[in-house]
Amino acid sequence: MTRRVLRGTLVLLGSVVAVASGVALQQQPRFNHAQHAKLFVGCATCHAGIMRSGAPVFPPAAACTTCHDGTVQRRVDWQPRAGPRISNLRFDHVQHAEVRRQRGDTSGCADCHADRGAAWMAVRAPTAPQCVACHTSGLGTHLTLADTACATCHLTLARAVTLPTARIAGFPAPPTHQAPGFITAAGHGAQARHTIGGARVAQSCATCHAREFCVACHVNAPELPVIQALELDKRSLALPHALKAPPTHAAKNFESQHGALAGRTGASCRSCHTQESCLTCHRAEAPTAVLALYRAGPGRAPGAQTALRMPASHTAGWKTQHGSVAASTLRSCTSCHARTECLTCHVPDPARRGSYHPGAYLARHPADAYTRSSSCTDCHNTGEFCQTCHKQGGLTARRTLIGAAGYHDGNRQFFLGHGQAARQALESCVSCHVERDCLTCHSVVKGRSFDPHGPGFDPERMLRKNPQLCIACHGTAIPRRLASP
Amino acid sequence: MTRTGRALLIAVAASLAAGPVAAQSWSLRLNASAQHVEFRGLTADSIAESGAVTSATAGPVTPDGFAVNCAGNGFCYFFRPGPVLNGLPASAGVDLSLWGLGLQGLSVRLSARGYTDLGGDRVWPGTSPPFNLMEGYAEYLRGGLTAQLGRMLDRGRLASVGTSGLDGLRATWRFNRDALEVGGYAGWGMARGTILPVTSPAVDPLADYQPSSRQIVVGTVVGAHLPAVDVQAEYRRELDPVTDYIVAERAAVSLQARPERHIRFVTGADYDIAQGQWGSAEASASYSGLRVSGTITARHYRPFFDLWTVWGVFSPVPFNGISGSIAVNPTAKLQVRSRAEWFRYDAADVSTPSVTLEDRGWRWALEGTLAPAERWTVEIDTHGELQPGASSSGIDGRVTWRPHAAFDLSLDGGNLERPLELRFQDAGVTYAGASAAYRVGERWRLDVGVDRYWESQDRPDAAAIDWNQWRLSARASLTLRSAADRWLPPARPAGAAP
Repeated sequence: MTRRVLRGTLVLLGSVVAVASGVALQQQPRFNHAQHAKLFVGCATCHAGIMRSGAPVFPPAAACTTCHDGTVQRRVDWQPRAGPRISNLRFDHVQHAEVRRQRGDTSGCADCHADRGAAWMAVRAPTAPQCVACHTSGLGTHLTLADTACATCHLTLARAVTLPTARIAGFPAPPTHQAPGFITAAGHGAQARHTIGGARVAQSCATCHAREFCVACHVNAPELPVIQALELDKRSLALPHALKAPPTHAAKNFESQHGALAGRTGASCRSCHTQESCLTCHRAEAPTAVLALYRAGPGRAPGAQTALRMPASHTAGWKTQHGSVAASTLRSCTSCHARTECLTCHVPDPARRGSYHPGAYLARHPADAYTRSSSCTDCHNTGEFCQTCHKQGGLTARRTLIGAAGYHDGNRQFFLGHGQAARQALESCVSCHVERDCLTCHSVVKGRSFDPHGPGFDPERMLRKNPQLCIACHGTAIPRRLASP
Repeated sequence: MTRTGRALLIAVAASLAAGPVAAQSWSLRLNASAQHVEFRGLTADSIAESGAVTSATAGPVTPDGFAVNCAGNGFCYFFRPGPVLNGLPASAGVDLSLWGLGLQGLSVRLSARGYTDLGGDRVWPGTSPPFNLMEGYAEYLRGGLTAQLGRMLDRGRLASVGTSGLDGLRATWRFNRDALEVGGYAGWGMARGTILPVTSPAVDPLADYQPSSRQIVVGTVVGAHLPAVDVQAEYRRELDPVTDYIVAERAAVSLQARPERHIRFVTGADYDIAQGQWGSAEASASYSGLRVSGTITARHYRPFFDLWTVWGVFSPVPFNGISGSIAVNPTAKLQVRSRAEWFRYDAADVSTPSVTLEDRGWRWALEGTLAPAERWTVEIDTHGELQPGASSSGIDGRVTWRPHAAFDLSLDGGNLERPLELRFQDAGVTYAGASAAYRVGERWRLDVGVDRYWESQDRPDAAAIDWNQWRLSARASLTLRSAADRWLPPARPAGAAP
């Protein structure tokens, strides 16, 4: 073994030690190679295992006592590293040296473990760029190489069992991972699928990631072969991971448009959302897109956490304004509201303390009802509700206004001028009056033939649609002007 | 309970028995309510015209001071205060949803209530008939198709949610990524504003003319739901199955546009084809910002009557109104709201030489909500309605204390003055009450309330009745559901890939 080879071997050994373990080296005294430069002429003297399988990589501690016996030199407590090398490299010194020897490459340990021109035994750990410089010259730097190239030099994370969690947490992210769309399915998803086919995905993505890392975000992890191909290793959670909303979710109208988006790209939603994610808001009726999502369960991410927010449209007066909106898009309402919520107001429960109307509404209701502040008949049937109550209160009519009990006693001649009041508030009139009350005067066959028809009355149309109505007052002798086509 | 209702219940029960029980999921809500009310009405009475005396302030009165209306037929009529009636209306309801019935997309929904008056007087409206099936239908979802069969509530502008129901079939097909929908329905209709058929005695308490059979309803709905616009058009025809005459025939259109996140335009109108006239319509523009929101609305209201009544030929006139509302949040703890509407009736085209009636009016309200502390909320509402027929003005207030998320305690009260244009009196009501709500986990909710009313009537005769009363109310609600499937059908059969 030439002196050069020995020196290189020694440098190589030192470098291996330096690279192999940060934690371990911090916990035990490091061997200062430069300080011992005059004592050693080759690397293999101490690091025979680098060049020969089966031989120890480090010298025994007793070798130090040759000098450090307490007399010649002070004693030291250096100990050779126990256990496997702390690394995720596929690199094997013996194989590497053998391959180089077969290729006629005479370079030694110092080519990797020392700077060019450095003094003997001024060793350091080799760096990734050094590997890249020889093996993938011109294809990029360490982190800019294709993501599929990681496996060339690195073990999968799950197989790099000696790597401590702290080292994993410090893994640098390749620039590709910082691209704006990398978080989307078209980014890292497509990249992962591109490498699918068995070993490649396990060796590339798996260099830094294990299945737990993906499951932290992916609800659909059990259904994705690319994730299932990864090995299990909880240390992968040491890498920073957080579920981030994709750019589409930042759109101003995302809240109102996410339903249509989900319909078009439902598969994307399934990546991050469980059914439970959507149920936070969609409490009543699950849209089809929600049903297509996976339910929360083992092996899946918990899903994006959502918060129920009242839409901007639900302003203070929404209670009286929502009808028109519901008429145009009731399906939007049923996203959040159960039918029973509608029934609470729209089908009043006589045994329940009022919720829609304010307090003392029994006394207040004439003002609202007379001029229809809101449409009473949306929720109340005139007969079932109004007439029943008015009947109990004695507020029912007696056939004719003339000589009636005088409920309209604000003007004793009311019956002579009731026409305007009737046409303005006919819905209120019929809450106490029935048809025969009015037909006493307004019928041709049973009354005094007072014409009740007013502006907008279209007799020909009425006759076409429902002649029974005409017969009710006119009998079979419907005036010819009505019967004419 | 109607024959159709019984048939539906049997169908639902049969489907429950036939379904694969092992795959079923369900949600069940039970509730029971009761309240005590006092009711005092009027009793019509009369005296001979010769027995009436003239008072200094109220014109002709009875010897004991009741103002009378003499008809010229030898008798004078008046109202005496009626007896105090005590009502104890009670109800029990069930809302049930079932899915996982062995066919993906199939579910069953049932909502029913039973009523009674524990006081026996049935003084309160709505306690008859004793049982009402509000909804009971099977729904099938597959792709863009939604099909429902059974008793269901009408929906849409021509029959807003809850106004009436339909016993029949409804199918809707959504396509082009749900942007378009076409649907139709057919069956037997209900009376307006209730889930009872027009043949039910409960909708005819005064023994008026009543159809002998239920109307047949057919309708269609076409809608488009674009990113910023929703539009829906409806057509609905109701036929008397005995005569084949039209009971109602209407068309409507509803549109909502959101040109910008904070701005919304909503409009809608319905046309009465049977009578050849526009029904109600409205158009509004709304802005909803973080601190300020407001709406401006123009409204045209015309009452609608079925053609099996004569009321439509009396030519009710519409009113046109314009209204505005605004809500301002000057701070995170305070919101101030205000709204006002001015309206005017169309000309009634009748001569009323002896009676002068208002044909226009306006109403307003000013409200505020203050949250002075984390667990306290104070609400104030003052309002006025100055309009034909019945006016009112008043103020209401409520203080709510929520010591923790499961418990609310509220105190409320207010005062109302109610001058009536066509009545010989002014009335005032002052009330105070308290209510509490307690939620026990996800399942139980309990509500109790108590109110006291004091009424004063200002009229110059003896007819001012004592209407003071207590009201008590209680309600309990229990929600149960299958443990594995919370509120919704499972996404796929257990263990199977979607």
